[in-house]
Amino acid sequence: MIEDEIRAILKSLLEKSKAKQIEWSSFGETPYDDDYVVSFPKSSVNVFRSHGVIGATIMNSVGTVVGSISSDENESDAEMLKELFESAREQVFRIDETLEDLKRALASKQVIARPSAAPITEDDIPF
Amino acid sequence: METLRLIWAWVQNNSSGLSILLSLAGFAFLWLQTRKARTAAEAARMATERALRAISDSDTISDLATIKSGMKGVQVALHGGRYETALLQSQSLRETLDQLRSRRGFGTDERGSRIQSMVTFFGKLQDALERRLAEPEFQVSVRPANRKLSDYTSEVSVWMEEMRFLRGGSSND
Repeated sequence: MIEDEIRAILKSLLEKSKAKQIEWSSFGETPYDDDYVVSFPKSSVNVFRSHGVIGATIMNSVGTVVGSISSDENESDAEMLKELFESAREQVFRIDETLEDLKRALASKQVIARPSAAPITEDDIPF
Repeated sequence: METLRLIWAWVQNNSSGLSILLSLAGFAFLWLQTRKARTAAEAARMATERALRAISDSDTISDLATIKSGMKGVQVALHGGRYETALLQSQSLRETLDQLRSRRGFGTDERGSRIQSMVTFFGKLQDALERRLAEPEFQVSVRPANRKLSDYTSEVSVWMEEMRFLRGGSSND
């Protein structure tokens, strides 16, 4: 069954995503709330969240959907899809990296953001 | 007369050796001619291959120009709220982009992945546009879509330059 193959592919994708061995991207213009894509030479995988439901689709070389699964259709897929979605989202927005940077900066005893001696005025901006 | 008689006698005595020498000379001449002909045929074949490659590259450059212009067309259509036009152009772009995969210089995995990224983007954009046409209250965020289209247009421009000036005349790939 194609769904079983899709599950196997998505599990492999999740492992690679967790290991940061694939590059997710976000198009910013989709009908869904959150939408992430990873492209391969002749196929792509799209994971998205819409109204609380997480789905994943596999597209062929012309961008036509050839198979999909979603968290509301099969309970056992929900956890894997959630992990995949979070991993893609984390990578696109660099959430861990950003939080780590903030934690490191705040843990430092050095002065991090010294207030400017004189406030910037309109004359300081050359345009 | 005496001299001629002596020469004739020498020829008669050494006729087999002379035959061999003449045969060798004939063979050498024939070999040289064949080599010349083969070199000319090889040169003609290479020239034909170069010409075919140049024609194929011209087609690719033309297709890239069509893609670039199509992407700009989608940007203009989105900006003007002409969603049906943008939808039709997106479909056409998906097909033309897919055809690039078989062209010289576009067979690598890296290039394939970039083409796939564009094809997927247009597929997703079509989804959004179809939904907009079916549900007029659904809003299409034009700015992020146009920003992505600008990125892709720049990338296609780089490919065009590469085909025109870097790959032109190269026998690689």
